[in-house]
Parts: sequence; structure tokens; C-alpha cells
Amino acid sequence: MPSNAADYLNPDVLQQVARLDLKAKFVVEGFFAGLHRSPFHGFSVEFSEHRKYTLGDEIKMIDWSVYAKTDKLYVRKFQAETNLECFLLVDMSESMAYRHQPRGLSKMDYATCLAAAMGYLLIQQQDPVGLITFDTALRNYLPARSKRGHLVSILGELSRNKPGGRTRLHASLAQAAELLRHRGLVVLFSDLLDDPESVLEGLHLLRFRQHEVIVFHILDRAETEFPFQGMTLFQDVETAERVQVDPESVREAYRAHMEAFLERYRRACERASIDYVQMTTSTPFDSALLEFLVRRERKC
Amino acid sequence: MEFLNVPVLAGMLAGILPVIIHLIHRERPKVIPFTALQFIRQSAKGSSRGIRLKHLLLLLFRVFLVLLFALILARPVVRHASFLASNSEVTRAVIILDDSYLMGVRDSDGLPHFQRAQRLASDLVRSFPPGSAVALFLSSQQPFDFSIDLASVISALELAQPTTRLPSCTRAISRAYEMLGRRGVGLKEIFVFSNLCVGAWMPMTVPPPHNAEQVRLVLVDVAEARGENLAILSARPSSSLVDRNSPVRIDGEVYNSGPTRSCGLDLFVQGQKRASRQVEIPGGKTVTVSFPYEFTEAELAQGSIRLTREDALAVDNERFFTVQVVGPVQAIAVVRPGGDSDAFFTLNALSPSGLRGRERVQIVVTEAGHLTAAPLQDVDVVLVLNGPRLDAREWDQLWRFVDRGGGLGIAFGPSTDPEHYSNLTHLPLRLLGVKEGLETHLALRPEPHPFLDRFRGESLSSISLARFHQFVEVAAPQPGDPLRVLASFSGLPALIEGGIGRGRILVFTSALTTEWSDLPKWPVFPPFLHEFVNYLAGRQVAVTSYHPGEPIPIPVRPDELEAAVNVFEPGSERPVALFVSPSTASALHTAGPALGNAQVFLVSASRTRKLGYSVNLESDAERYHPLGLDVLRKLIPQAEGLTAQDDLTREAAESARGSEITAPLLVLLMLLFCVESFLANRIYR
Repeated sequence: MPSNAADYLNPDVLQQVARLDLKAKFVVEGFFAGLHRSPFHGFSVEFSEHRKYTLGDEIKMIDWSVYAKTDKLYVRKFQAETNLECFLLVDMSESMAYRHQPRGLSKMDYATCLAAAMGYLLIQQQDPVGLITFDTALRNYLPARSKRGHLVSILGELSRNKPGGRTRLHASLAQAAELLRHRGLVVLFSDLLDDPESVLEGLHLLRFRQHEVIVFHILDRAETEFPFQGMTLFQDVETAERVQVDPESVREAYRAHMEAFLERYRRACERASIDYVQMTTSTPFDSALLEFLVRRERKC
Repeated sequence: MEFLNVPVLAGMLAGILPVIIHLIHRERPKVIPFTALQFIRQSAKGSSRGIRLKHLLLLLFRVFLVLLFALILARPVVRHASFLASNSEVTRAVIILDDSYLMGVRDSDGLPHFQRAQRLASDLVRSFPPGSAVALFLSSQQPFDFSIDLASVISALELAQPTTRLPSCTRAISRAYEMLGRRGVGLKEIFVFSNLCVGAWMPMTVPPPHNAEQVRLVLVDVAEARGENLAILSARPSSSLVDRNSPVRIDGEVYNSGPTRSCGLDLFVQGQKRASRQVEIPGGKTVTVSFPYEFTEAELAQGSIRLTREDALAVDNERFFTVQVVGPVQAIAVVRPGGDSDAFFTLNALSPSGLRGRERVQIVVTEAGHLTAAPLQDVDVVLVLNGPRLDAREWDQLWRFVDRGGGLGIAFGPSTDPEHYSNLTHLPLRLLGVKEGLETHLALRPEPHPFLDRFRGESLSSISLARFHQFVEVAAPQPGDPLRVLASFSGLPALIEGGIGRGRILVFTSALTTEWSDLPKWPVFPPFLHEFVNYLAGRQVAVTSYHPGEPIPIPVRPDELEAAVNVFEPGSERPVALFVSPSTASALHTAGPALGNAQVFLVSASRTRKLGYSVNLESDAERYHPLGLDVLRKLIPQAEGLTAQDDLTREAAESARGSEITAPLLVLLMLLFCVESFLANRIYR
């Protein structure tokens, strides 16, 4: 077992943990163990407690009145408090089950862990968190709540769901937009392997509903690098369609097409004020979490 | 394109192997589940078809490689001047010129084949580029060394003349292959100029040379139109030893290689024309023409049979012969007193009364007791008939006679005293008594003998037909005795040969009368007695006709061991002195190239003896037949055939010559293997 909590940020290490709630806990704890300061503080208004100043704390957080009375440096801590609901949209389509390395994390596993960790984090902060899973259409919907018991529901839902069905992002996002009446933060975990036009249309619907949207575009490294060797018959995991190619001969073109695909999302999201984070299943979770928190801080 | 190793072309069937391997090991691509198929599809538009096409191309490429490999093993030859060789390529060539007498045949335009061969060969040598090495090889001689001085080669070519021999072109070709060897750079070539007559191509095989691949062999048929030719194949007297004043038949064989025609033949003896005949000879046939002749002088007689008109080949228009003409053998027959009947059959066989002085044996009968009065110095042979008793002086006289070279023949009979003949000083015979009461035949020993050989066999000339009832039993000679048994009666000696000094003794243990046998009644009796006497007189038939280059043994008598032996070869006035070998009692000479009659003089202190022989062409009808180029190319498969009409200059030869292209094809194969490896690596990595 890893001796350091931060080791659990490594997807390969985390895969050894079976239970999703533990995964979420380990990810979050590992994430905080690696931080010099808490990224949560500073955007809540309700004072929580004092603690001793430690190197790295911001000077502005020092409570100078306490210092005047006690001649000791204390920093003020605030309880996070916001009305921004956060919805985790997790793509459960068949393509999310793909993993190139047999012992690695699938995109689904990665998205589930990441979503669980975020749910865990938000529930810890008493932020309301909801969950929507979808493939061809919406599968499940858990409304946003901030109770600790709600986390069990979220984690249970995430661990129960198995990937299946074809990706229909546009329809799923449209349905989600219909469901989410109140303005909130929508975090999408998907490989976005659908028609970009329709996907972006769905995202625009969310934006149209005044939602802040963060897209975690999760891909397997094999999908971006196309590292295959020898004559290969590729079979689509969703449609069972087959294409025989020599990967060597098409690799460059594939990568170019993939890069254009990603770039298109990147630009389109930028234009629509959607935060777009592209990552692979080997990306450490802290990067994703940090990205989430930074962007959440900016949006709140 | 031709192939030197055609059977290997069957290896091209191996071209199917890559197809089979391809089908067996056809790659079954691994199936991998994947997600972003739209990008693969976009990236690989036409890729699958392209890959299949590449595979097909690679398969075809590999089949081509196998076919090319088989092609290379079959050793292709391209006949094209510009492909590999240029006419400036330095050559190492052997020019074989058939110089047999058959090359002297004139074409219908009057040009001898040999001269045409000289011209063609000279033109060819002139066309060789500078630096080429050429060896001239006249088939009858040792080859010249390779020379880069082409002018000297041409000079030697122009000086060459056809010989009177029949050297072998096939042997010359084998030798030329050895001369060219395996090593060296540049072209290696053998050119053979011949009119392809069979006589110059014996034996008709060339052992497979070790360097046939490196050497180009070209046979040039120089005969354009063969003129009609008559050839005298032989001129044979009935015997080389003939009697003076006796009729002799001299046969001449004439071969006509052209259409039926008549021709005239002349007989020349001692340089004088003695007879002429006109005969018609069918085409392709041989006719024997006989000239009866009678030699009147006891001497060495030489002559020839000659065609009256010249034809396409002059050298075979005359054939020479040599005969030794001798006078009658002088003989004395010794019989018991009053026993003239003992010599009756012998006299009639050797000297029939009707010949009137033309007898081959002149014989005088003498009774025992009177021999000392006989003039033995003028006698060649003494015959002692019916075994009479002679006194010691007579026997001494006979032993001296034999020692000087005379011949003594003894035939026993009813009056023979065995004890008397058992005690002869110089003849170690042991007579055991008269054997009678049985019928037996004369059995000749199998060993060859000069005078007995003609009486073997089952014909009327066989001596074994006669029946003998009685004979004197003589003990077999003991080891060390100077006696040799030539024939026997039921295993007991019948004819015994001995000798003293230079003379011979023959003892016949039965009678030459009808009392003990029926031999005198058989036709074989006269010739048997004649040969018996001739052998005792030292007169033997000898071979007198030789071919150029043949060894000639010249027998020398014991009293001539110190003699000077000089040979005057045909047409030569300068004698050739020979060395006499005492051990073989002969001098050995080799027939020179000149045709004609030769004389041999044996000059000793006491006398000069003259012998002779004739030198004639080695010929028979078969040797004149022309071999076609097609036939020769079957016998010598690696040879190219050209005719006198073809352009034999270097440029033309180059354009006609085949260049084996194995080496460049091998280089190409290696390059293609590299390309195959590259393609396979690109497709299957």
C-alpha cells in the first residue's frame, strides 16, 4: 500500500483501491496533502475558526487583532458557503469503457473516480452536488444536495453504473439542460466522441441556461497517440464496425485528425466561455482537481 | 536468349512457392476494439485497398525473384553485340587449322579448302583488337605459343601447308581448351577451320572440357562446293615377295565420291608406264582394278597406280607399292640310295615339270653318300627325305651349311633309323620309334608362326585335314634344347624347328609320301611345301606399305649388325642414316610426310642389300564423307557453327556470339532482394 496519501493521485495506484468512496477520499486527501495552502479559503464569507500561521499562508489572512492581543500570528479560516449547485454529468457510453492497457484505468473508471472525488470534496464543503449519468439518453439523475448522506447516493450511483450504449451527447446534454432549471455549475466528464457540432450545440444549450460549464475531456493515451503496431483490424466498441489498416501508415494522419478534433473543442469552448480541460486516463487526479477548483473559484 | 543449362528452367515452377507460402501464412490481422474509428477511417481512406495491393505487389515481386533465380541458374546467354561485349574486348584465341590432306580438296571454283581456311583465319586474326593473344594450331603439329604479334601469326598462317596425314581436329580442340585454361580475363575463343571430312574428326567426341563455360568454340566449315574426287585407296600386289617370271596381280581400289564416271588408270613400275585401264565407277562406290604383271628381274621393284586425269584432290590420285622380286629357290633333295620315289611327291609339288624354267624352286635329287659332292654354296635349302642314313662328313657339311645361313629340312619315313637320328651332334632329338596303328591329324600350336599361319582354319588350305597313319615318335624337347615344337600328332611332336648359327632347321616326323599319310593328295600340300622351303630359304613376306608418321622396322640379318643403314625417302636425294639395334636386330625409321617409294641400303663389308617400302595416304572411303555442322554440333554441343559464307570478322563474330548474362543478373537479383527486404519491412513492420 502507498505510504503517502499523495500517491493515490496516481491513477495506477488508485486502481488498487476497490471501493469508490475510499477512492474519492484518498484522492481528496492526497490532493490536500500536496497543497501548500487551501484553495477553498477565500471565496466564502462566513468565519469559521483561527489557526496558527504557517509558512505559506497569505499575509492578508493574518488576523492582526488577535496578534495584537496575543502577540501570536493566527490566520482566519472561513466556512465555504455558496448557493451554486454543482452537477456532475458523467458519460456512461460504451466508448467510455475503453482502456488500452489491460491493467490501466478505463475512461469510465477515470471519470467515475474524478467525479466521486469532486462530489466528496464538494459535500465536505457542504456544497450541493448533483449527478447525471447518460449514454444514449439520460440514465440517472440525482438532484443537487449538500448533505453528507447524499454523497453515499452519488457514490453508489457512480459505482453501480456500467458503460453501455452509444454516445448521444447532444440529446443527453439537451435533456440535462431541461432538467437543470437553476443556474449552476455543470461539470461534464466525457470522451466527446460524437459529432462535435452536436456536442457543442448541447454545451451551448447549457450555457444558454446560464450554467457555468466545465468540460473534462477524458481520452485514453492510445486514442491520442495511436501507438498500434502491425496490420490491425479495428472494431468500433459501440457499432462493431471494422476497419483494417496498417497503423504505421495512418498514424500521422490519425494524430492530425485527433489534434484537429481537440483543437476544435478547445476553440469552440473558449468562444462559448466553457472551461475545457483535456486529459488522459494517465493524468494525475490532482491536476484535474486543481483545474476544477481554480475554475470553480473563478466562476463563483 | 538461349540457356546453357536448360533443365534447370524447370526450377521456375518454384515460383509457385511464394504463392503457397503467402496463402498458408496469410496474415490474419489482430482485432482490436477501439473508439475513435472515425479518425482511422478518415486517415486510412483507401489504405486497406492499398495494403492489399501492396501485398499483391510484394507477392508478385517475390514470385519474380524466384523466377529470376531459376533463370540465373539456367545460365542465360544473350546473342547481342551491344549487351556485354564490345568488339574492342581483348581476346585470347586459339586458331585451329585442319591441315589434313583432305583439306587439299578444291572447290568447283578451283580454290583448295585449305587456302580458303587460311584466308578466313587471317581475316579473323586481323579483326582482333590490339593486345589480343592468338595461338596458331595446325592440327597435325604441336600448337604455337600465344602471341600478341598478330602479324607473325598471320605470316605463320600463310606459310602453312596441308600435310599427308589425317590429324584429329577433336584432339586439337581438347588441347586448345587446356591451353586456354580457366584463368585469365577477357574473351577466350577457339576457332576451328575445317572442311569437316570424317577423316579429320576421328574420334568424333570431345571430352567435356573443364572450362567449356568460359571458352567460346566456333566451328567454321570452309567447304563451299565440294569438287568431284576420285581416290585410289590402295595399290596392292598379290604379295610383297614375288618370283621372277611369275605372273603377279596388282590390285588398285578406286573410290568415287562424286557421280558415276569413267576414269583411266595407269600402272607404273620402276618409273615406266606398264599398263593402262579404263573403268567406270559408280558414284559413292569403290571399284577394284587388277593389273596382271610379270617381273622379269630379281630385284627391288617399286611402282604405282595413278589416275590419268587430275581431279579435285590431287594427293590421292596415286598409290605406291613395293615388291621384292626373287629368283627360284635352289634346293637339294637327299634320298636313300635307290630311293628316288621318296622325292616323287616333293618334286612334283615344288617343281612341276611343265613350268619350263619358271619354277619357283629348282630342286636336284641326290642320294645319301653323294652329298659331299654337291655344290652346297649355291644352294638355299637341303631337304633330307624319308630319313636316310648320312655319314658323319655329310652331317658336318650340313651343319656348316646351316651355320652359314642355309635351310635344312628333314622328313622321316619308313627308312628312318631312329637311333641314327638320336645321335646327331647339333640336333638334340630323341627318336623313340615308329608310332603306327592310329589315325591322327596335324595340330598346329596356337602361337603365330610366319609360314604356318596361312594354313590354319577349316578351309581346304588347312593342313589339319590330312590324315596320318604313322609317324616317328620323338621325345618332347627338354628345357634348354634349341628346339621348338610347331605342330603335333596326338600331343607328340610333329613339326620341330631348330637352328644353328644363321640357318634354320625344320624336322617333320612323318613322311612327305603317301606311305604314312594322305597329305600329298590334298591341295594344301604344294603350298605347304613351298612355304616350308621359302621359310627355310629365309624368304618371307614383309609389310612394305606405310602411312606418313608410321614406324617402320627394318630387319637386319645377323651378319649385317655392323652395316650402315641408309634410307632415301620419297623424293629425297639425301639419305637418312639409321641406328641398328643389336638386341632387336633391326633399325627403326618413321615414315616421313612425303608420299612415294623409298629405298633402304644395308651396306656391310661383304655386300650391299637393298630393301624398300612405300609411303601412302591413310585413307578409306569413309574418311571422305563430309560431316555436317549440325552433326558436329550434336557431338560437341557447346560449339557454334559457321560457314565460309558467314562474316567471320571480329565485329561479326561479336554480334553472333552469345554472352552469358549470369553475372549481371546476379547483381540485379541481389539488388532486388534488397528492394524486397525494404518493401517487406515497410509493409509488415
